[in-house]
Amino acid sequence: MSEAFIQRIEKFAADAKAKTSQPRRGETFVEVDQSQVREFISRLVHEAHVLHLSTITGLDLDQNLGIIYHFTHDRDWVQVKTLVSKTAPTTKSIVDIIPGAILYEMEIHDMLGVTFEGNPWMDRKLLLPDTWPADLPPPLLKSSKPAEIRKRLQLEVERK
Amino acid sequence: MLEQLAKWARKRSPWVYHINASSCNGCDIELVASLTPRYDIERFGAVLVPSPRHADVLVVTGVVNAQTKDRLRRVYEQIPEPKFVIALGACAAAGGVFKGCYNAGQGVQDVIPVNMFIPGCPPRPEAIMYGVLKLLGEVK
Repeated sequence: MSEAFIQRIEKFAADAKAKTSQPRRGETFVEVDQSQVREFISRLVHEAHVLHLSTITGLDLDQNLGIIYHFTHDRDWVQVKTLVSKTAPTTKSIVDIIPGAILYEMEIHDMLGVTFEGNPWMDRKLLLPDTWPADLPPPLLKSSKPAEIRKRLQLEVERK
Repeated sequence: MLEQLAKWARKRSPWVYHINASSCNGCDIELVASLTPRYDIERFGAVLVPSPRHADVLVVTGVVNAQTKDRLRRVYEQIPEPKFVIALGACAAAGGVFKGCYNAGQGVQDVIPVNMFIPGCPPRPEAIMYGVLKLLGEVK
């Protein structure tokens, strides 16, 4: 990773009042506030030409939900992490900046219940079954109980 | 007499319909491998057919989940009697690595009756052929 590239990302991060760190060689980790993340990714794509969004991962961090956008650029990584509150899990979509993010956002919506404002497919399911009851909690939250979900989906059968 | 003939034909030429009930595709590849010239399950008359209405044997791979459960039952009901079901692989037998997940059942036998389990993750083509032939030996 060239020094100029890192400095450029650090400048974006400073503008967004974000913390940067380098956990490994060739990897830049940026922690951005939720209100700034769209602006930051927009600059990353349009100004630094980091064009490849590898994936978006969601985490359950007890108090908050974490969302990490993994970008690759040549052989380098840029990870953009942001926190979303668990009580009102809503954040802005980046589909208009990176169209391919639509499926990653749907996956996180299915699995962790985060709503991405601006994603046109938020009303659809990607991975969950069609018969998924609307009142069940998202399955990848740490508070969800797989045995109860299986019972609701009628997958638990009494064995003799 | 006619019944005898039908039984003989069924034994010598079992038509197989394969359904993937959310398998990872490992077992499916091994099932296809048992059709290749190296193993050649067709020399025993077993043919893969494209419709369950033509089939004698239903081969199910994969752990059955909420999405595939009803579809599997519907396919099973379309097969004419007498019908035989083979559960192929660890997932179809008991849930495999997915056992305990929120969306995974505990095998095919919770949804439809099963005649033969072929374990393995995935089972080798030899195991699949051994299972099919053993099932045919049971056909009376």
